[in-house]
Amino acid sequence: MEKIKTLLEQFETEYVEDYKKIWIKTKLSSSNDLLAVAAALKKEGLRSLSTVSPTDFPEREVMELNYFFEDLRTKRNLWLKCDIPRALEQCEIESLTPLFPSASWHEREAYSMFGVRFLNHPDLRPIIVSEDFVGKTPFRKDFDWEKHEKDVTNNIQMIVDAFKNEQANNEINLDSESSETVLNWGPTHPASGPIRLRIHTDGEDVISVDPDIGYVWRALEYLVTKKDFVGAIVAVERLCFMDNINSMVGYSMAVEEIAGTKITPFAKWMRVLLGETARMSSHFMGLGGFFNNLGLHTLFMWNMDIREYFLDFLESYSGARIATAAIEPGGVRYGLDMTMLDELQKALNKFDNGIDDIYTIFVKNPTMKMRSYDVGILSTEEVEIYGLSGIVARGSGVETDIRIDEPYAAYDEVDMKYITQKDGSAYDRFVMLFEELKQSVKIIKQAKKRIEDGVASGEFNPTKDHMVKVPKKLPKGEAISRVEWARGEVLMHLVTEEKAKSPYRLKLRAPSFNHTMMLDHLLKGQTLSDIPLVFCSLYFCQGYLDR
Amino acid sequence: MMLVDIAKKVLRVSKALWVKSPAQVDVRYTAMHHPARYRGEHRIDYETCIGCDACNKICPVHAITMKQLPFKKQNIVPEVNLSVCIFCGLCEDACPTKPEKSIVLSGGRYDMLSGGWHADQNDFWVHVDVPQSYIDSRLEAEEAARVKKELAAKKKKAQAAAKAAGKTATKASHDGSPDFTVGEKI
Amino acid sequence: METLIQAFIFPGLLYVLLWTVGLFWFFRKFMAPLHKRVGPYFNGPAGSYQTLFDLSKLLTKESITPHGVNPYLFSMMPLLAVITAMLPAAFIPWTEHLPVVVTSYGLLALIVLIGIEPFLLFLTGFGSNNKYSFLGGIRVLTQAISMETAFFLAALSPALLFGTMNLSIIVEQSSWLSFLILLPGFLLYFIALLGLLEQPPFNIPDAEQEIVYGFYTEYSGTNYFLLKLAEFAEFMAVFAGAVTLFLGGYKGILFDGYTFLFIKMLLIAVVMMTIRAATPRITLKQMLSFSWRYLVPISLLNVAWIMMAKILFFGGV
Repeated sequence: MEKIKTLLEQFETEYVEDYKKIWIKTKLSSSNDLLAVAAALKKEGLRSLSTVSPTDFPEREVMELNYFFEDLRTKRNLWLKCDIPRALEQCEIESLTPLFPSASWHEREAYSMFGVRFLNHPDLRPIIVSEDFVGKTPFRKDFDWEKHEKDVTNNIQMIVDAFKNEQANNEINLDSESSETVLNWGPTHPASGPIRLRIHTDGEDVISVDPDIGYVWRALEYLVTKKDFVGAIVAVERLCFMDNINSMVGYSMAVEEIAGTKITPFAKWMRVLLGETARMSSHFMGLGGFFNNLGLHTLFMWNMDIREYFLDFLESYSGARIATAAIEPGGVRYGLDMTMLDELQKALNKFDNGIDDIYTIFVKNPTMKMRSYDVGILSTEEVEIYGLSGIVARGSGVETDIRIDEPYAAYDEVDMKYITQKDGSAYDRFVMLFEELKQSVKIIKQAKKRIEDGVASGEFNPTKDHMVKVPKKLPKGEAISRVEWARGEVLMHLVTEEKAKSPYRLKLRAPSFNHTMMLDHLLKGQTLSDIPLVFCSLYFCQGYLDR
Repeated sequence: MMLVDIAKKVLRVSKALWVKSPAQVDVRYTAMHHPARYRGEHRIDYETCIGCDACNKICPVHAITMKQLPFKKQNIVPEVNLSVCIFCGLCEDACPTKPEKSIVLSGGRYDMLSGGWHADQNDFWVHVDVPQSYIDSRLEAEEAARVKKELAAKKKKAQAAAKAAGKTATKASHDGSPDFTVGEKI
Repeated sequence: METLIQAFIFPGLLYVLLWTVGLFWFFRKFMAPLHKRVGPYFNGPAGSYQTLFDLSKLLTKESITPHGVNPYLFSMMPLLAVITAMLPAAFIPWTEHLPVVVTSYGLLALIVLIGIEPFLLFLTGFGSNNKYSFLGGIRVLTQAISMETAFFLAALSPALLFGTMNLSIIVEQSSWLSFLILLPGFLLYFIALLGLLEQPPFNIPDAEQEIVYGFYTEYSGTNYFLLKLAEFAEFMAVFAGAVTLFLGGYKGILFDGYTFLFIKMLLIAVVMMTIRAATPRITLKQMLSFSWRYLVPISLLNVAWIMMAKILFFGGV
């Protein structure tokens, strides 16, 4: 960390301070230094850029940009801010994409949503927003949503015209005698979910892939600013409701940090228990989905059988199976009734009975191995420069897990280790899912035992200790929080104004965003049959891509 | 050899034929799992509701509208639009009534909108049917309370007037009525 | 009169239709416990009316013909495909008194009729004005050419062993000894059968997750029903061929008759379904390399083995 501080002394900064244990927070005085600082940081070893997030301050006439640099090997992180003028003609800054390839799509998103122009960006097109929002910078504070939404027919007509235009022109540069063509692996495809891939193929060989996202855009980052701090959990949990608990934990941690409240140990252990259950629910679907894209539906059906018991536990605790809304700022929302843990035990028993069959038949399946052991290989180098995380990173041998690097909830007391695989192919990522499933079961057993011991010895009161009061109006401040979501690392950046009743700006960084950027790189030169395989092994959630 | 390996997997999968299927219950008629906290259809109690508007303010999707009742106090009750409601349960958390809350989702019906055609938008609402007898009884009670208050006020005024006429003391009356007999104080 | 009954009732049109409906239901109901599900449940005892309802639903839906298709290829090919797939029913000896067409080239007719089916399916894919259908048609052709070679070689081994192509005589002369000699041939025939009928692990032309639905993509309503009927009639033809050539046809334990043919065909269907529930799909290149590097050479070796067995056990060439 000292090296980073000495490095920053060479440039003009407004402040340099330590933030939590492994972060340094700093603000540059001039945005012209950004490129030089970034180059120096990259040489120092901070090679991953997590995300780029602007915040709009219309009263001060500035747009504040936040950059988050991470070093995956030595766990040193830097939060860099700088100001640029807000007026549309002057709102520009140097692009970091030539140095940090993972910034490519994040800068495109900042451009579409806030109108920040990035100079020397190789491909600055709008992303996520539909055609009727292009050029209108919807997340600025002076955008009039009501007025825009009144004119529905015109908006839809713009979208349809743009699509027809694209379809008429997308093969214009191709030779009509050759076998090259552009396929729409599209939103109404049996295996794709709501995403479109424009695949340029030569017969069955893929030449390039260009993802087109934004079919599930709900503008959640704007929606959150209209609700109060407790009501915002229903927006945050719908990022991807397969594993909704960990998203809510990240948001609650940021709110608690600004408000200055500390939650009880009982609430911390409950967050661990619920978080791991939700992670298992998501991994079951991921395992099954991988085989679905190979044409074999048996694993999905068997997984659903086991998953239902875990969902029964979530339903007994919170009242809903999937969109639970069970975590609030201040702790967990409901008290615990000890009979609910019996349901959890039933689920764990069912898991232990069924897991051997799944291992023998599907994890060690020779045909699946033959198809996937040499497809979609990611090296350690690529994981670092593209900012990958979660299963994808650990499948290539990089030891990064936020539950161990920057422990939150009660993970500092949980006994767990890094689990990695060596080669980084699609097969390794599948095996990683399976190993993580077993690791989650071990953590659940530890949490369950700890809670039962705590209640029996009187240390925890399960009906009163679950929530601490958080004030309704928060002071001015900002906080970031990171959680290990089922599919990667989620970083949330919360900004509040003085006496705020709702968030001023909430940035949600999606790991799936970085993973989808890799599709073009991984699929060059492969065949059409490999597309669903690689697509599913990267394990991303379209809901979280678009937010 | 790979073919032998594949054959072994096939045999292992066929063992599933002898396992009893977990799908035993016809869930059109009975629920497999219906715990006490299950968030089902709202049940609104108009008698205990105090009309504080907390459920309306906390609802994140504005699914609650308040129905006006012709009373002076505690004169609104919530009605829920089921096609907007996301069943998050925050309204139940926010309700301050004790010992039972006035708007309850826990343990509610799960088969809310299924079955048949819904020809009318009103089928998708949870309405509160307040019977006329209840309205009449509340209005009577309010009227009685108002009359009682008027009588009590008159009585107090008469008492104070008698007291002030009986004495020339400077004890000012604190019941708000102006005292024109305290000229000696000045 | 008898010809009329044979042409329309048994083993004619009605028989093939009943067989298709029954096989479709059997596939779904048998696959379900392997997936820990229930399968068709609500209509009829154990859901047996479900297929009839599905078929009648398909017949009453609109057959959409997209803009720009070749009308001959798109609309006529399904009819041709159905007719070609139903014809082998006339050559199979269902009981001692049938087959309908008694000929000494029954095996050849069977093979030719089964083998011409994929070409018709390719033409349907070619005629739809859709990139995905075209890709599906190309895959059908590639797979059919590779798998049919092994199929033919394996199907010809009983003819080599018994010295005749007459299906009734092959069934008459089959015994436990001939079953054991023909066992490698039967295994090869089974694997080639999976490839020809596009079942997992060779369901490449029908790969939903990659090319939407292959050459079926643009079909709906009655057109689609006819294509599916062709597919299931082909199932029946190939299974009946397997049973007649290798498993002894209608010969049974205590008595001979049609029942045993039926049971043996269902047995092959059961094995095929279980393999379907346990094996994922392989790619086109891997299928090609498997077929031409392993399957075809082993079939040639099988032919050599049959000749040797004939000299040893059956006396002379």
